Amino acid sequence: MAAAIHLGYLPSRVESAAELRFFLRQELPWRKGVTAGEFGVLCLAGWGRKGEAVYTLATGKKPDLLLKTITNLLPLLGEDPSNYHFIDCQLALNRHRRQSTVVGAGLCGWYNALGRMVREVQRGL
Amino acid sequence: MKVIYHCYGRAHSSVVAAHLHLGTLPLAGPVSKEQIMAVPEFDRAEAADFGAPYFVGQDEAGNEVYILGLNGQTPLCVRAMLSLAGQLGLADRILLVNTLTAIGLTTRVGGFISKKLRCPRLGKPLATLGIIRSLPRLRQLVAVVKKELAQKGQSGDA
Repeated sequence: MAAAIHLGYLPSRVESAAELRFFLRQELPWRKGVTAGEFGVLCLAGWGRKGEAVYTLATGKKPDLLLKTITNLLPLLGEDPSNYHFIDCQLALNRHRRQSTVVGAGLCGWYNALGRMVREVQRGL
Repeated sequence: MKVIYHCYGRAHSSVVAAHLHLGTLPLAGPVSKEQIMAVPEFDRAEAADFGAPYFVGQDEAGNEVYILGLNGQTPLCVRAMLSLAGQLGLADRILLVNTLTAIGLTTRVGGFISKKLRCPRLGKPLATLGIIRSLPRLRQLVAVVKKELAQKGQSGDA
């Protein structure tokens, strides 16, 4: 979902649950997620406005070792790890859950929290 | 080419496989407990080293040999590493070798006692014994890897 927002398939903010439902009813890519067998597989989702490659990666419940491993592998493959930003979407959702009384509850609030996180990421590029 | 021997904690089977590969342990003939225990990386790595490839040396063909501990997350991490290499167009530059398939219960129990229970005086000799028992399988694994590398080298030259 965050990748879809980043690439512009979905807006970074919706005003109502009805608006969100409208977007989610469209046949957009990556709506159905991945199976457990696909956890760990890095998928190129597309290219952002600044030419940045956007990937999705399902990490399972323990992302730390996975992220450490691939970050450590990058120099071995001749890549600079500072060119890679691993964004934990769960963190944004957890933050939203803690502040849900402030920013609005429900799926709409959850979605907008994700959208805020994506905007922050895009600003930081 | 980068060869990464990986196991649970990169303290036992991957270490021995890497040294067999590099020739610092022999690929044929008897190996003593003392020889195994004298390997610098043997029974050394800690949990903080999980996920960090450690360079052991370069083989005669110029391939870099690494060891890596993936804790209990081998399938997930291997998929991630290979898909990353694939996305970068470098999947043919990296060879991941799971050494856990070549060892038995004795090494696992020895490793558990040494690392998890923090009792290396008991665990390290037990892991060593297990490694010596598993040497034929580890040697076979390394032989397959070397053959694979030779074939890749030939096809790369062509």
